Amino acid sequence: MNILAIETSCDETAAAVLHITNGPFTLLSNMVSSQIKIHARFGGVVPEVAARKQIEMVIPVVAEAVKKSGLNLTRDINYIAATQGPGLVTALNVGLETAKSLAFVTQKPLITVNHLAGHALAGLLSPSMSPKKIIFPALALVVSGGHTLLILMKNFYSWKIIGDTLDDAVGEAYDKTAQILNLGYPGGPIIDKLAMAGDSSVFKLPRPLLNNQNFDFSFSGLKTAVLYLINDVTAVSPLKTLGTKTINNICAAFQAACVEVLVTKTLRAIKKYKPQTFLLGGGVSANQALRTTLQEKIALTAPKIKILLPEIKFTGDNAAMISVAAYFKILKKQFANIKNLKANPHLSL
Amino acid sequence: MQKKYISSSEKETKNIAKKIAANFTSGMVLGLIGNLGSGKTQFAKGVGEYFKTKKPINSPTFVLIKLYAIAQPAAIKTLVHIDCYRLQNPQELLDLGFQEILANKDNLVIIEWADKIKDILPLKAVFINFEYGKLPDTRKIIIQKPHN
Repeated sequence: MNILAIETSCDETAAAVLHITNGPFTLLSNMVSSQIKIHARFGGVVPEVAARKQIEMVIPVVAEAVKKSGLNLTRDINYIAATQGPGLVTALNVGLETAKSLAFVTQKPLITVNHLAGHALAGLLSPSMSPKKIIFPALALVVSGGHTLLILMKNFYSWKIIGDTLDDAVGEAYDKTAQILNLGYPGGPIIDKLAMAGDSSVFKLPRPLLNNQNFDFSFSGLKTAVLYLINDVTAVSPLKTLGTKTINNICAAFQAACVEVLVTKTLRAIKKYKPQTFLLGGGVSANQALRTTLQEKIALTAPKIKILLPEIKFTGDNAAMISVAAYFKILKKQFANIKNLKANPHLSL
Repeated sequence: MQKKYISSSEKETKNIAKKIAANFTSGMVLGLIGNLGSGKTQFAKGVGEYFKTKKPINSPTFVLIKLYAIAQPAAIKTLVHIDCYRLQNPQELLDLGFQEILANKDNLVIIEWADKIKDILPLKAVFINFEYGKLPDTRKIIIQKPHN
């Protein structure tokens, strides 16, 4: 079967075409608005939040995805899928309404997808993977600018959130810390890079909720701790500024704190729920320190677990992961009714 | 006219919010102003706990607007938590249905980084400033009552 998926939950406009018969997923095309030279072609910048820009981009992006797939929309595509939530309501509406119109006109079944399920399943897009290789129960860690979730899956249709953030998402903590350090946006890749050049043992930062026995996270206090640390260091520095080395060390200390909390809680969840598969997803899953540490520590504590890390191109928002999540709903014929169908910015798993 | 509170911890910021929240009514708009880490989200969490939102409040920075249903029957039906941190201009909030949110009198609206959208806030908005105190972890929370 061939699935056309559209994802517009936040800043990115994305569309993808996925082919699957029985074996692994074959991605025929995968377009994200920030990848293609849409600025030049359509004369618009992609502002960070302006959802109305999605309206200008959704058709070109979908058209490009279909064209690149080499398929004919009416003849070859079997199903249309779109993200229903969670996300920005105006942004979600663009993708969902586009999908509804396409499904209506082409008379194809429509599948609505939860954005978070997409992130959790992004690892399935790796070339050597296929749905049958996932053994349940599975544990998923979804880390992004908007979410920090530990999810327990009994099968592809049973999702239970066992841990969530009480305040800031981990990606948000990276962005805000980068802002405090004047490093630019987005914070994740910059801090990850500088942290590698730094020494995490020079400064001590708190590990929020580390010893709390549940699986919830808290990152807002960590950001405030960085703020205090900077004030303290600046106060005693002769030039009243932070040197490159100090900034690297602060990044390393911050990253070490984030990674330790995420990994410790993940290991604790593995110990309790004994999953057979571990899935990682979300924008922050591109973080090298997080990927390496998770792999090492899980291999040590539970060597039999299959670990699925998404390829870097599938860590940020994309429509390929939406097409994968849609596939499992298609197997159960979980189609949406176009009438009364609305985007849900607070959609839960 | 203004009223000032001193908080010495995140927990106390939440408790101050819970205390003040007794005066909050449906249709009210609260504008929280203060730097990163000054306690705005903790304050919003305290208000959420006072009104017993069905889900605990967390940061709205990424999605900009989060809606929380109030568990018990009350004049306030929904607590709307907005964050303007990522906004480039007020128009972006208008695009997200801000007028409809303000027009719904069942809402209690809490806006973080409200200074970024002052131009589109109603005159009746109550501003609450968060400032760093002299001692570590202390915060000054200053409530500015509207003029009329």
